[in-house]
Amino acid sequence: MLNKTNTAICAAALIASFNTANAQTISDAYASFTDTKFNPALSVVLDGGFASTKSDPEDYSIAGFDVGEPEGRVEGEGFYAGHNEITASSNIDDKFYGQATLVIAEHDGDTEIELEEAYIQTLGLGYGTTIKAGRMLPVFGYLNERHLHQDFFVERPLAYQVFLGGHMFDDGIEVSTILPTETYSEIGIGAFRGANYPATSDEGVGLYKAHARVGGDIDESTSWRVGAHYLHAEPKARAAGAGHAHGGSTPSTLSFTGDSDLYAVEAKLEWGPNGNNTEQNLELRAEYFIRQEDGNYDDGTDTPAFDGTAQGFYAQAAYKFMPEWSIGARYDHLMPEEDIDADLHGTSLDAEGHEPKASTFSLQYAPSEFSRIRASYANADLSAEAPTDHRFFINFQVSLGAHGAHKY
Amino acid sequence: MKLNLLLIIGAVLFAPILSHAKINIFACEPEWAYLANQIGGDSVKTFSATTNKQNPHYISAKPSLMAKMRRADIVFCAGSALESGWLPVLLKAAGSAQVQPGNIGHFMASDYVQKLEVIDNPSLIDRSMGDIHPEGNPHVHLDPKRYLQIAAKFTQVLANIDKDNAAQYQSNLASFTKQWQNHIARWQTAASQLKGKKIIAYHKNYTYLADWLKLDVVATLEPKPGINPSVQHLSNLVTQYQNADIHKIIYASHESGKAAKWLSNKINIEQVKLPYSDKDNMVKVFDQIIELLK
Repeated sequence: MLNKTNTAICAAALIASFNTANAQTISDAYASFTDTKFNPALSVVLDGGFASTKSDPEDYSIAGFDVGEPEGRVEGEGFYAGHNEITASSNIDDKFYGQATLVIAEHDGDTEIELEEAYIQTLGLGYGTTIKAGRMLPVFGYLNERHLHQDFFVERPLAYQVFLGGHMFDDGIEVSTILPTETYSEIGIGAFRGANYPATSDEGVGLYKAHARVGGDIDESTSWRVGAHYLHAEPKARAAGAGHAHGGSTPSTLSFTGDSDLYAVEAKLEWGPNGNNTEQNLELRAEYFIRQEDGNYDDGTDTPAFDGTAQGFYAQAAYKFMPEWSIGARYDHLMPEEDIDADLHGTSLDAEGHEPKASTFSLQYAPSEFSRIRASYANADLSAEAPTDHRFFINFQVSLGAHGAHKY
Repeated sequence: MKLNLLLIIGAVLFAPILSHAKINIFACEPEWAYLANQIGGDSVKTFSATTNKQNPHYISAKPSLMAKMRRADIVFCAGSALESGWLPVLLKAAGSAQVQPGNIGHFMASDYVQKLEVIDNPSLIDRSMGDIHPEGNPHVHLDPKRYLQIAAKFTQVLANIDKDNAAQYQSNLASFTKQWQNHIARWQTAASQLKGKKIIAYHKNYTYLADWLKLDVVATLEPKPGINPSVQHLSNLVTQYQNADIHKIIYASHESGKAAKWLSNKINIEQVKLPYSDKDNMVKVFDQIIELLK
């Protein structure tokens, strides 16, 4: 910002510069110091590739779930631009850190800019405690707190697509504490507006959550972490799926009002020879979800009751066998509620006895920690009527600029 | 008599509370854990986040490290962005106010010595140059003179945080300095024949050792810092150095020996794995490095 003092200094330097070249260099450096020294760290993630799916992306549906159009999957066909992100972050002062993330993606031909994160977080509060407030990706399961680009696979697990709309960001506050125990342990709670699926945005505070994690080392080469998560929402007239008003071909007319409780357990194991991850690295991970919803669906004419439990899980392995090459496999399986009201038969909630499942295989080339190219194939059997889908992707993801440290 | 007995019982019961709690030091690498123990002695409890078999650039911010960071009073690392891939996660989630960057418990060793390979004009660097540390080469511990400077600085910080034991720390520094200077003299004599010798190293982490012993690290097996040795680059090294009177090809205990062995065969020069660090005995590390380089 130009104020009197700066102007005076610059003017003086400019005059002095007619005499010596050095003075101008110093004042230039000083000017740029004040302008840019405290700029936030800027990071851009570019994501795109080529998609070939047997099914039409417009007809994407997962039997037994009113899923709408969840995030965390590739919506394009042929060459596509995926979810690109711009993240700005910085320490604000000695008490707070701040971060904002914009996601720029194309949905149905429209370029959308979404504010995924805009939060502040305490620094060195003490007692292992962190308070985070604003728009954020709450901790839920392993993946929800991570950006879409931070997974090994191109598409999010089916369980995340149906239970969290792909990934769930919300406005609120989250407090987590790492306890002073010998073995790592962490507990956390949060309260949010309920802006996105599985909540609705009507309420001031529409979503509550709690989590607990423990983890440690088995030996020098192997580390582990397990977590338990709980989320409670009370949606009112919750529209289908991810709550994005995309339009699409035939949007579901169902809306849900009632209580929604989501439970999840996550487990991860990481191995590297002698704990050295540069040459070889193996990650095993699995998560199990249980959702109980109790309320009514409104289909425009009737309001059939719904009191059921849906479950889902995934298990995956990702193995880096050479410094730049990795392979991975993931199995997804969902068990929707089969016992549904007669009025809901024939709707998207009617799985007709089918349990959606998918198997994914992926090969990744990552010449550095800032870039990767992947080729993957998923065999997805998502509904009773639709034939098995074959989803091929070639995808690149790169990170420009500041590159934050990765969580476990 | 009764009062005396009560006093004795009271002293026994409350002694653990009244006695001085140890200072918890979270060292990022074994070389700093060793130094923290030399200066801190029995008054500190030191933890090394990594072993000498692990590459400090690429560490997972795993739960066991979170738990140790939670209780850390001092964080003792190399700095200059060596640990930027994992340390910030630990500091943000588990670190107390005292260990946050800029505060008294945040001790980055490379900040206190003259660094080499500092990029004067940061606008000239970009990622196509590999994993560059613009603040300077962070692998400062392999110059025992710089190591001693860091010891002195660390003693000041430790004495400032734990004033009750300041005298003890100064005394520990004095004896460490005396012994270390004797070792330096011994090492310099033993390594005098190495002056000017040409070395090919895996990564640019022997810069400070070379600076001290006047070695000439002419090339690295990595085409650029942090980029894996490629067949093309190694072939270029063969062409360039097969008749260049290279003394040895070296790599560290946490690095793969494959490329070194390949090049060694091709240009008929000895390759050797050098120890890099040891949380229990850094004297032995320097002893062995010099012995293996001769």
